[in-house]
Amino acid sequence: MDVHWKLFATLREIAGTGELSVEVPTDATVADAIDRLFEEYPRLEAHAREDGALAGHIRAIHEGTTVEDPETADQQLSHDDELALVPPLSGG
Amino acid sequence: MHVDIVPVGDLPAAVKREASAGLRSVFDCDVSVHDAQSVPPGAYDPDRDQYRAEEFIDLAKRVGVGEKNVAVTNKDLFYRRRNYVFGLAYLDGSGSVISTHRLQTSSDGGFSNKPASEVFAERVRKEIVHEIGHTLGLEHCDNKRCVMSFSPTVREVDVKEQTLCGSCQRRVL
Repeated sequence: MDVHWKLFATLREIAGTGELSVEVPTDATVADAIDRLFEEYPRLEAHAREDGALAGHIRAIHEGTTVEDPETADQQLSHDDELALVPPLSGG
Repeated sequence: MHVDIVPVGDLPAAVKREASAGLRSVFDCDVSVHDAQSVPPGAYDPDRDQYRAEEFIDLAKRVGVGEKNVAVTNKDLFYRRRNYVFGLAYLDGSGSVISTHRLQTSSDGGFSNKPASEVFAERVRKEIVHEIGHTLGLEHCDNKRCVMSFSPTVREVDVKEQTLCGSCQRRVL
């Protein structure tokens, strides 16, 4: 099944797009979808993952709700679910 | 909307006043000023002699009583690989932070014919409006006059206005 990622700020700049779809197994979890995203887009992983976890307070959102501890989140996904990675906006 | 300003460290009254005035002038919001808080333990990075901005946001979210809670500090903040930041905010989130440390007129190539105190006050107002704008869902704006334009140095802060451009206004007001 497919799930759809929305990317914001620096992550969108790195990916060159704000929306990406990835294919995941039917029993995939949020954590699996993050792994799939980073497998397909290693430059995103280089920026967004440190020591096996999302870096720099990047938030993961599943169907509009922030996911706590996303790298281990075992909540199941459904076909066409929307996920997002939202880094804090820095500068001023 | 209620915005709670959370002073962190020893912050002059004038800064709190300007921060409140900036928010009230742009957003139709109630503003309160929280009791001053100590710098969060663990925020200081001795190698950089700077403070992690994320820790200040966490503090503002923890103690703030507003729908939006913004930490204001005079400590020098950084975020990941950036040398420094004037502010940091969560898009569509409740927490944000601004630092006045590098908004002082002597730093980093700003320009203005106005008195130093007025230039500093304007920068404080712009930066706090900017960060609350992020928490309302606004990203950086390409219009250099818009308060939501990206400001890596005070030069860009001085170029922008204290207000949202028409397009950003339509998205949040």
